[in-house]
Amino acid sequence: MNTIVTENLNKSVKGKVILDQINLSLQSGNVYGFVGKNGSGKTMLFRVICGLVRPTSGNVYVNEKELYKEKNFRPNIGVVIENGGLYPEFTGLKNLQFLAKVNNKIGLSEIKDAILRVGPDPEDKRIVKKYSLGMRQRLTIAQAIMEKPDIILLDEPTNGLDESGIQLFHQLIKEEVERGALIAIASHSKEEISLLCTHRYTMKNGRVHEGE
Amino acid sequence: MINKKIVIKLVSIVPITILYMMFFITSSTVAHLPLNEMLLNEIFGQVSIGDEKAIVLVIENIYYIIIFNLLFGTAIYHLINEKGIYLFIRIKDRKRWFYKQTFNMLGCSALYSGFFLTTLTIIFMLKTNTGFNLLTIQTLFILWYFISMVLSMSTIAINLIAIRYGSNIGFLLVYLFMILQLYLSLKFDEIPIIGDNRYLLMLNPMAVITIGLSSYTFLNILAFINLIFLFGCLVWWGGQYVNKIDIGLSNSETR
Repeated sequence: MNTIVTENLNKSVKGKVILDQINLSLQSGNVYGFVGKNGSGKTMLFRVICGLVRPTSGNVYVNEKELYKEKNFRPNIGVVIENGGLYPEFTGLKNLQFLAKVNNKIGLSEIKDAILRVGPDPEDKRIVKKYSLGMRQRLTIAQAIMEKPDIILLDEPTNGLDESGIQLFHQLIKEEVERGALIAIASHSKEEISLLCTHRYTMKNGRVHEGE
Repeated sequence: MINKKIVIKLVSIVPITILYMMFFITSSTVAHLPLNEMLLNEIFGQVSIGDEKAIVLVIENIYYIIIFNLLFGTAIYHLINEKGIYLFIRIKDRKRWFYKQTFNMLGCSALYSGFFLTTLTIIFMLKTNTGFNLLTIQTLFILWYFISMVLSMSTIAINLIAIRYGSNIGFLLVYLFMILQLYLSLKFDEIPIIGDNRYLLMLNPMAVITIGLSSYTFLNILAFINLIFLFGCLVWWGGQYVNKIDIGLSNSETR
């Protein structure tokens, strides 16, 4: 069972409150949707949960281990965050190989499988700089799922995807839930969240409310 | 990760040095100074402390430092602020990652200063009739060590300041610091009370080698240890800082 628990989570940047008293309890087998306008705090919540940004106060527990407190604890999380993060001068495959090398959990065949699951040709020789927005997004989704993470956090995952990309993405979410992953999706689109998620939250001014 | 781009950056100092020295190369004068003194005079200036002399970096000739800082001054900063989101999600120990980056930087600066000094030595060998002797090798080794340490420390400092305040401020603060240290080195003997104490000058990272090289062994060792100590402090502090820093915040969120 994979879990995420947040207790009184707060994050302020330069005096501005971005997250305000967030209390959540999420479990695997479910898909959690977070809807909110730009600047409502969705991306910051995901950044804090995945260990990129320290909370100003409050606690985050991933699989009952406290993030930022236990030394060298890095949860097994796959993430799509809307800003770049890929190396534009590398090919898609080389980008994923570079990231996979950090933990050496998977080999070339698993990386190629992950790319195939989201559509592009793993043998594509073009560098990422020459990819379309949709192709880049597919590659970003591939890096999030390639190491079969316990938890998958997806921030605006269908940005730039065409119809076939969106269908592949929906299929992928079903497969990952069946595998036992805990999935959270942030989007400004209520329709997308309603379609994919078992639980829905609304974010406004850094606060989370259950339901839409 | 050594790739083609990094190799090109490192080797770029060779044509730049040749261009910088073009006037000297094309002139018909033959220097009668020994090779080691030509190297020292090109890179350093002299400061008198009582009857003794120490050498310091001269501001007119720090182009090789500026170029290295421009080439590598944002490498770690870009990974943390822009490119590193998916990398840092996977890294378990940020401190260890940062230490590895700093040692890569040290390796790059060692190679770069090696290329720089080799180019300078070849240029001077064409213009002097004195040969390559033990003192030249000793001088080259000390220059290589000193330049490598200054390059890596200044570049790491720029990267660390850039993470918090942006790369422009990073460059500005590090150069202000270096210029201040150079000024203090050059005016050291005019400073009241401490001006007569040569050991204190050796603690300034910009004035670390005595001109006699073999004559002042204790001062040389002190200067060597001081640079290692300063490098260690910077890397240790940087590791603590990177371990706590927020990754991937956009500029609008951090400023």
